[in-house]
Amino acid sequence: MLIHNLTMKDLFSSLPVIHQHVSAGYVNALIQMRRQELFTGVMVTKYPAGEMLASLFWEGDHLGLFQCFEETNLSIPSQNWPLELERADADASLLTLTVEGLRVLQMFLELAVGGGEQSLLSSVELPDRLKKWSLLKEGGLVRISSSQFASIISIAGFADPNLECVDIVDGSAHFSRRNVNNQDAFGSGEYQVVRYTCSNEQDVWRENGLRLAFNPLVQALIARFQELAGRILAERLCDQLSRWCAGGGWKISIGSNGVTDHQFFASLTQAVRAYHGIIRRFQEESSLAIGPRLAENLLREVLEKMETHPRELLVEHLFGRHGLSDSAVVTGKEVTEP
Amino acid sequence: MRLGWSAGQSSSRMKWLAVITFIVIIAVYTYIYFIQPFSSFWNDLLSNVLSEIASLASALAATMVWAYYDKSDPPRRVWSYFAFGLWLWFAGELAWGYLNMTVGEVAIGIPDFFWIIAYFFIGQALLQQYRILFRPTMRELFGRALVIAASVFALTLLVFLYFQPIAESSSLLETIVNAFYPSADLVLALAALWLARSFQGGALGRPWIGLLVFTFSDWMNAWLQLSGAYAWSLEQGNLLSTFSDILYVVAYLALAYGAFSKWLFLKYGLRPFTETR
Repeated sequence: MLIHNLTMKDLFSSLPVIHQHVSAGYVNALIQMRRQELFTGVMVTKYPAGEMLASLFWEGDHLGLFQCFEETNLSIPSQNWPLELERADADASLLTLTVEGLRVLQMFLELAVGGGEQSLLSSVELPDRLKKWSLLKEGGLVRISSSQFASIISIAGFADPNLECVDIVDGSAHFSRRNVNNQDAFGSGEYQVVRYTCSNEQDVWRENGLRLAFNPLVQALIARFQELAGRILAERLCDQLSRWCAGGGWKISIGSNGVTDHQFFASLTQAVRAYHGIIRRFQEESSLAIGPRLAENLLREVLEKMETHPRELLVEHLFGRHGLSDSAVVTGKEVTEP
Repeated sequence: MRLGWSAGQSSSRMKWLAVITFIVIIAVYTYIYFIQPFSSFWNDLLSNVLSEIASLASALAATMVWAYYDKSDPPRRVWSYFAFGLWLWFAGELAWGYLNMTVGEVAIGIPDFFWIIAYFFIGQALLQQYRILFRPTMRELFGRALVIAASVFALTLLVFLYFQPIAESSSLLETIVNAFYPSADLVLALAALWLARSFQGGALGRPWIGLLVFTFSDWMNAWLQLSGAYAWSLEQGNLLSTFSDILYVVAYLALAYGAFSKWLFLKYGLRPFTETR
């Protein structure tokens, strides 16, 4: 069935072309249109010489431009965008994504560089292999290709069983979260699989790790606060935090089940700033009820109980050398003490 | 009834209403105590009623806190014991007031039964709070409970041994019961101090400050009674007994205010300041 090595370009080759043989000016007009319609996803332009460019958008923001080669992707610095897009005779395709899907695809475009580890796996072997990779002390991105679909899977590693997947089927993308222990997560058939390892040296990957670690942290903090202060106050605290996030322009809401994060952060710094602010806000609000000493202890206790890898990430980025209290990132403080 | 007040305004106004009410109670009590404007019967009756109102206020406020919690909330366990203990204290006050009005001098009896049993429930409340804060194993929890019980027992024994030779007019039971109060108060005060410190600066710690004030004043009252200083002060007509009696009412009201303030926070706290109710 699979007769050739998977290339980066293959991922987008199945997308239907919506504009054929268009000029560079028209490509720029298409980019403007994506901005105006607050598009989230990827706009792919293919050229007769075989070049392929992928433009990443989040709510109309043109986040990045990547050139896809056979075995690697190259991020193009923004100052070179006009030059790179100045090519004639482009075929343009669109892939609409949710913010979750966009995160996975952004990681793929930025991190899947260099030849990955390729293998041909049956539907029985694939879940076992994914499980094995999820247990490694390094994360990675896996690209799966079959006759029916293509998938990009983000594996956090460090025994995290959750997989974040973007399936591209019939020219459209679907984001899903799957559990590595679910053997039926993929259908029957044979898959060509490429795995790229990712490390914390890369900011995009660190940001991903931080986001994944932040959710259980907040979930545990709220659960513990609920134990101390009761359900009603815990719900109000979540509401306060969500309002605060909305006030800061972040699409993040906090509930007793953790964080619903629909925010795309263009950089690790932005993500750190938001998450740091939420924790600070949690401490300020919870201190009103349980006092600053208990609020501080609560945070420490919850952190201590977390798995080593997410804890290290959180400590490094949110608590750091100077502790939480030193960073002045909290804005729009609103008094809630009656 | 909707008054269109914000959460902050409602909370603040109710707090002030409580403070003013409590100040009025203390003022009236002090006035009756010093000036004795009515006949002896009415002065005693009104003083007793005001003490009972103060005790009732603390039990009611604690019950309001208990009722506000969801059935699944761990703090509800704390407040079920605490409120029940305060209702027992109220029952003790009521019984003492009735006996005081009908027989005069109240000997050790029914009021003490309520008061002593109440210590068990309040102790249970503090243990439950400890359990929520530190999540001890059952063995650790049992160990702490044993240490508290042993401390109360040892202190009671010490106080009893110290005062028994000088408390000639008291019966053995009376001396034991009177030795129990300051001992149990001291242990409760230490626990309340620890809890108040744990919740330092937080609204949910206010009842424990109230309990600290209460146990301190009750400890002082019990100690004065046991040492004979209270009777001596009454005979001399000096301010020591007066201060102790007034402080006793103040302490109940402090306890009531602490619990009420917690209830207000549960009802209005962590809301946007401008949200109207």
